[in-house]
Amino acid sequence: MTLLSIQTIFYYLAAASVASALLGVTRKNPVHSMLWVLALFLHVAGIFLLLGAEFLAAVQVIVYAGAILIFYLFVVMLLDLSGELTRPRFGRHWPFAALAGLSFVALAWFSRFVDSVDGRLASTEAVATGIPESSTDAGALQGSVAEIGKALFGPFALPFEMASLVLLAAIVGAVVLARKRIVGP
Amino acid sequence: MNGVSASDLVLLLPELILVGTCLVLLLAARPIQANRAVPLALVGTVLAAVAAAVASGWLLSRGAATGFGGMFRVDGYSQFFKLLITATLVLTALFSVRSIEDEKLPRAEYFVLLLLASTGMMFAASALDLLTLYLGVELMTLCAYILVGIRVERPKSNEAAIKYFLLGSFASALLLYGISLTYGVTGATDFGGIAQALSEGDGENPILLLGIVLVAAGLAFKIAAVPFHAWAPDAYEGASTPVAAFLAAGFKAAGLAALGRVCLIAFHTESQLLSMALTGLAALSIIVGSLMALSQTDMKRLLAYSSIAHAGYALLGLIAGTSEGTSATMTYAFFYVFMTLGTFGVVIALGERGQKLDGYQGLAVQRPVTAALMLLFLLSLTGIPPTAGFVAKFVVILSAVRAGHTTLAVVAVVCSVVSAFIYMRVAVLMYMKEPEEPAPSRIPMAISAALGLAALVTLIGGLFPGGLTSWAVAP
Repeated sequence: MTLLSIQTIFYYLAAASVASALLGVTRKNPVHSMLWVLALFLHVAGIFLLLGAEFLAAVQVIVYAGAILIFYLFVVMLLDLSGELTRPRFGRHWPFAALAGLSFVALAWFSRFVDSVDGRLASTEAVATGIPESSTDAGALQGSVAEIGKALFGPFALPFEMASLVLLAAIVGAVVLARKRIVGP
Repeated sequence: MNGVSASDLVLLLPELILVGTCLVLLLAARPIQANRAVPLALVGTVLAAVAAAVASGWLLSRGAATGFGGMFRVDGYSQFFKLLITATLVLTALFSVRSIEDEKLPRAEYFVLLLLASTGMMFAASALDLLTLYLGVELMTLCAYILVGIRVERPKSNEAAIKYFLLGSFASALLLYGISLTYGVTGATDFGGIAQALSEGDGENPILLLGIVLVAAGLAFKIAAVPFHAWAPDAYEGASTPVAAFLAAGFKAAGLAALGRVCLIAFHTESQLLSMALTGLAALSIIVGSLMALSQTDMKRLLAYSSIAHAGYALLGLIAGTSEGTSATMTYAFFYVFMTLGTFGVVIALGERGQKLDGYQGLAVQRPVTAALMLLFLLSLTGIPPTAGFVAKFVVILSAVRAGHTTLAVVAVVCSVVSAFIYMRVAVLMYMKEPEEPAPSRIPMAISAALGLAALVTLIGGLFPGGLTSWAVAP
């Protein structure tokens, strides 16, 4: 792909992310908010994909869009939706939340001047093009699915398998705790 | 670092035996549930634990080894704790026969959770990397949350499990924060790499100090040291008594094993800070545990506070930051496990009556042998010769004195005297009061056998105090 088309896609994804985030915060109906957040997650996954971080993109879709958002939706469905619609959208503390959000924006702005990989101050040229100097080769390799797969089943095989035991315990626990009272044979 | 080889897998033999038994029990859950006469799952669990203990010994006889790219260590230290963990598993499984029957618990799943928790403890004892340490500790805690809440019909049990889960997740987050900060500063998660980075580092780094304190706090929660003890009394009270015994004995052993290795290998260059943190934890645990136990009338809560105080005593050995100190803690952990399991065993043997302090009135008239065993365990918990408890307390207090913490040693001795009052109150009730309740029902064979084993270790440990010294070798 040419640089221009990459930039076009990036600006679309970035603008759509910001827009859907704003809509997610401002909608009155919580279910609508959740759907906008879903759009946000998918667009962010697109940005990750554009940067060559396929693994992060997959995690973004599977974990955030797939698992966490559905979990949120379940909770939202349990709420009193019609009552929620009549109340004001923001609580009294919204200026603090806005301040926190703005400080993240500031952080993102200033991080442009720091090279993303080794933490040095980036050269003016890199800032101008928006592409970090050292991210093109090393950064792309680090986030690739193949590298992560090799690491998981190579040096990190033991922790990986231990994590599967933790999952097994969680499944057994869910079955045990959710069961009905056992009737003896 | 390469992938996994067969020689790495052999090092996992004890853990693989336990996990394999888990899977078999899960697959055979239905026949096990239907089969009421022979406690199949119990026999399987006990056999697996014995096999794992034998495998641990066999691995040790082949010499110390490191596997999985330096994440997993088999040495005298890890196998000592693995033996202790399998012993805890066997005794807990034997103690569980009555509560499984009475509470109609799912047999297969109950033992699966015990086995998985023990596997996690073994990983924690062998961990040479913060990743494996965290996962091992997390595996055992996750199983513990479920075991505490496994009596789903009891609101008290549910409440205890939820409280334990919330506090436990918080502590896990602390541990994880500590690990990530340590990784951020040193660039390593394996203990050797951390120690090397620290010895080459430029000294004081506030982020690193925070990381070390958070790791220590996360592990202190697992052994229920003050101020991270709030979960213990509620969890023990809400759990069935065998599960409470498992938590009191196994968690202390595994937590101390992990803490010992982290202090002695990974963070040994920061021993001054660690010594300060551990001194605070130990002193607070001993004082708060002993004082709070005074006012308890529920036996499980009393034992919970007693276990908090004992966590403090066990930490006395780690304060020195030397191998002698660590082997003192190992000795303490070993004897503590058997005497605590024994005390809980008597509580289990007495059934409903054993739950309340008043239930022990006149026990010596009705059940002389049970009362005598209880007296033995209580004497041991107090630390009176010739029981193992005396040997255990002696070595850790000696280690604290040698490290120059004389004030702390005096506090420990004074609190021992206070705790004598707690334990002897039970003895007085048993021997000097008339019985008010009917004699407890017959004690099942399995529970008697487990009680006998615990009593044997408590007695032999007291009579031959030097018996453990060649075993309890620090890493």
